[in-house]
Amino acid sequence: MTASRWRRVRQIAQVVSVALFFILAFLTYRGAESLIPLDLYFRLDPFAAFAAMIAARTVIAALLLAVAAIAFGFVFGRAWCGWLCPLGAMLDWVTPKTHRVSETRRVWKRVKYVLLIVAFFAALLGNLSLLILDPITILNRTFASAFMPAFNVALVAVETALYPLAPLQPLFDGIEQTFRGTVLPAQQTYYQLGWLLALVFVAIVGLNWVVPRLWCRYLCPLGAVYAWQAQVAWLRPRAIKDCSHCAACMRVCPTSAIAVTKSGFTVDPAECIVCLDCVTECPESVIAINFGAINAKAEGTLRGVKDEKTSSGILSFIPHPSAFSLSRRHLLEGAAFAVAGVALFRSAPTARRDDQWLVRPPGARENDFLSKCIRCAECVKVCPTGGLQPSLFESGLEGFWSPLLVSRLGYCDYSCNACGQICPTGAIPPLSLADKRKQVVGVAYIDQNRCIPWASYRPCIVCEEMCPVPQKAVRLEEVDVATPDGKPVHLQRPRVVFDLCIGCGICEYRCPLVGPAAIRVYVPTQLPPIVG
Amino acid sequence: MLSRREFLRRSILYALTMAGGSALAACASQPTPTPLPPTTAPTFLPTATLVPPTAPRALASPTATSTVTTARTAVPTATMTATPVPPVAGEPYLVIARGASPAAITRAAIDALGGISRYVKKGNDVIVKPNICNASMGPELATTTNPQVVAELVKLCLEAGAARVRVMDQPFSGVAVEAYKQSGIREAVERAGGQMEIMAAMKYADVDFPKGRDIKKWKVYQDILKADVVINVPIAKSHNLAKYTLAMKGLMGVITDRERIHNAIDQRLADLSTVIQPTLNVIDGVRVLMRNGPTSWNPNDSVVMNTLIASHDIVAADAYAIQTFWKTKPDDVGYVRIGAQMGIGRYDFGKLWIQEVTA
Repeated sequence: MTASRWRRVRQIAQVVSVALFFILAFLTYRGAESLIPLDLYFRLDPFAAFAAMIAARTVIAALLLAVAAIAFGFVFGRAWCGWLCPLGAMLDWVTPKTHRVSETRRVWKRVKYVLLIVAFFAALLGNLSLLILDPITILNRTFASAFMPAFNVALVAVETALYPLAPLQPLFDGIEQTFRGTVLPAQQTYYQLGWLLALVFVAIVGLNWVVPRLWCRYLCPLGAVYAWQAQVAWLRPRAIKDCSHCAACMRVCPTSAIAVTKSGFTVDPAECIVCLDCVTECPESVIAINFGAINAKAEGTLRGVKDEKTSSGILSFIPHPSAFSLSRRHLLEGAAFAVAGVALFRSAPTARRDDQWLVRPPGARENDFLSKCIRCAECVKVCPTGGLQPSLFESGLEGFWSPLLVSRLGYCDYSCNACGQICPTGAIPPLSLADKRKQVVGVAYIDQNRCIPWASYRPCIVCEEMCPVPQKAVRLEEVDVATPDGKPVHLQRPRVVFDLCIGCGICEYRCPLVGPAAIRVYVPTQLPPIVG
Repeated sequence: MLSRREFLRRSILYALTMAGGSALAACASQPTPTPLPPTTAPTFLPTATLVPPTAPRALASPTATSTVTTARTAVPTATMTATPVPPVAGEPYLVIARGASPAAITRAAIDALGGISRYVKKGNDVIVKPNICNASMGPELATTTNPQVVAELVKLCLEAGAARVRVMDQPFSGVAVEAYKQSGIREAVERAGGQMEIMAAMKYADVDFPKGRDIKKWKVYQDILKADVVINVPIAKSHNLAKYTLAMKGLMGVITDRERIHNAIDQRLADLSTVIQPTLNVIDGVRVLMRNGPTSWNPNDSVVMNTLIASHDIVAADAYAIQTFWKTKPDDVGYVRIGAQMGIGRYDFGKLWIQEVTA
C-alpha cells in the first residue's frame, strides 16, 4: 500500500475513532447495553489508568487494557495521537487553512513532560488533580456538561417551534419517543460550569491558530506518555536516501517534528504523530515511516548521545536536539512540584473541613474519593436528573471538576444507581440499588426562615411528599398557630428526621421557592443515636 | 471553502425547501378547533338523566341544575376537543363496579355507563392517563394505577375502533422510561395494543384558564387538550395535603411546575379542571392506599377494595370515591367542594343515578 493510501486509512481511522467516541458518549445512559464497554476510551488511556491505579494503590482490573496501550506505544510511538485520539482528530479538522511552519519551542515541548512527571508524583501522593488535563476526560466532560445540555435546549426549541407543522410531527414524535431518556437526556439538565468547560474546549481548539496542534505538542500529558515511548518506538520516520533539501516535509509536518539543524534535517520521533504527511508530500520519496530496530550507533540513545557523522545532511536518524531526556534533575523537579502542590492543596481550608455543599455521589465520600476519581465525568453524563456536576472549588482546587451532587439542579433518584455502575475506576463504588438506597450522601436541613409553612403560614408539603425514604425522612407536624397579623391557621410544618435522611435531595430539587430551596442538603455529620 | 456563489445557491435552495415544507404543512389537514354548540356541551340533562327507568333516586331540583348548566355551557378553550360525555336517558350518572378481576370490573363499569362506543368513535385519537408517580415503586404498593385496569381500557378503546391509544403520565420522581417499566403499565399496555408516550417538553404550551379563580395561565400538555378522547384513570390514594389524590389531582401529571400547585392546592386543582376535562374518569380502587400517601412503602397502608368508580363528572367521581373508600364527607375535601361550587361537577348523589354493578 502506498503512503497516500495509508494516509487515507489514517483519516478514516480518525473519523471512525471520533464517531465511536461520541457514539459511546451518547450511549452512556442509565441501563445502556453496549457490546463495546462504554468507558472504552478511558480503559485505553494509559495516563488516566495508571495514575488512578497508582493514586488508589490498587489494580483496577477494568483499566488493565491500558497495558496494551503501553505496548502499542512502544511499537507505534505516537500513532495514537495521529490516528486514534478523538481530540487530536478534532484538532486536525478545525485548524487554520494556511499552515505556518512553526518551530516547536524546545522549552515549551517540555511542558507536557513536566506535567506528566508532576502528575506521576502527585499520583504517588494520592492526588489526581492533573487528570483534568487528560484529553479523553476533557472531551467527555465537555460533552456531558456543555454539549449535551446545550444540544438538548436547541433540539427542544426547534421541536417546539416547528411542532405545529403537521408533516414534521411524526419526525419529532419519533425522536422523542425513541431517544428521550436514553440517548437524549431524560429531562433538560443544567450545569453550573457548562460555559467554562465549553470555553476550555474552544481555547484548546483555538490554540491551533497559534501553532497547529499546540495542545498535542506542548501540553497533552497523554501525548507525553506516548512521546516518551516514541523515542524508542519501533515505528519511526527514517530517511532512506539523500535529498535536495526542498523542506516540503518540514512545511507539512503538523507538529513541526522536522527541523533544520547544523547537521541537516532532523526529526524528533517524540513529536512525530505518524500522520504520513511528510512521506506523501516528499517529492523525492526520501522519507519512509517503517518498522525497524533503532540503530543505537546511528541514532544515539535515549539519553541524547549524538553521532553527527552518520548524518548525510538529510533527514537524519539522530534525535532532534530538543528531544527530551529524563534526567535525575527532571525527576527531582517534578517530585518537588508535586510535593509542593499537594502540600498546598492539603493546607487549603477544604482540607480542614468539608465545604458544606460537598455532597458526593453515593458511596464516594467513604471511598477515598479524590484518590480514585479521574474527573472523567462519566457519572455526570449518566446521571438521569443532571444532579451530578463537575465541581468548582467545593473540594478545593484539588478536587476541581470532580463530581458533586447539586440537589437544586437534580436529585439522586431513588430508583437509580447508574453512577456507581459506570465509574471506570470504582471511585463511586458499584453499589446495588438496595445498598445505594441506604447510602447517606448528605442530610437535609430546613430553613425555617424561608420555608413556606414556617415563614409564610401557607400550605406546602412538597418535600414530605417527595421524600422517597420508606419511613419518610421529612415528616409533617400539625400545628394551629396564629399568623403575625393574628389570623388563626392550621398548618403542616415539615421536619427532617435526621437519622432517616439519606440526602438524595429531591426535597431540595422540588422546593417551590424561587432561588435556594428552604430545605437543603448539606454534607452529612455523623451523630450518635439519641439516648433517652 | 464555500464560494460566494455556492453559498447563495444553497441559501436559496434551503429557503425554497423550507417555504415548500411550510406550504405543505399549511395544506395538511389540521384539527380545526370547532367550538361546541351549547346543546352538545356537557350539561346535566336534568330530567333525562335523573329519571331513568330504574332510577331509585329522587329528581333534581330545577334551580340547582339550571345554575350548573349555565356554568357549564361555555367551552373552556378552543383547543380542547376531549370533553366529558354526559349520560343520556337510560344511563347512570356514575357507576361503581365491584369484583375480584380488575379487567372484568373495568369492562363492567364501562358497559354500565353505556358502553365504550359512547365515548370512543371509530378513528379517534385516545389518551389514557393513569397515575405513574415515580420510578421506584411497583404496582403492588398501590401507588400507581393497576396495570390491568389500564390495559383493559386500552383494549376497550381499540375494540371501539380507536386509531391509536396512547398512555402517558409525568412521574414526579425518577424518569418516565423507568417509571413506565417499574409500574408494570408499559408491559400491560403494549400487550393490549396501546403505546406508551413519554411526555415531551415540546408539547407543553401556555393555556388560558378564563374561568380559573387563581390560575389564569399554566403550561399544559397539548395532546391532552387535542386528543378526541381522554380517559383519566387515577388510583385512589390518600394524600397528605390534598387529603386524597384521585381524578382531579391526577391532572397534575399533565402540567408543568406541579410543585407550585401546592400553595393553594384546593383552588388550583379546581381551576385545572375548568380546562383539562377528561372524557371519562375511571378511579382504580382495586387496591386503595388508605393512609401515608401519595407514596408509601408499607403494604399495610393499602387495602384491597376490588372496586372501580367511573363517571364523566370528575367531581362526582372523586366525591364518590372519597365517601366509598374513606367513609368521609366530600365536603371536607377542599378541591371537590370548590369544584362543585364552580360548577365543574356535582356530588348531590341523592339526585343522581348511581349504578352498582358486580363482575
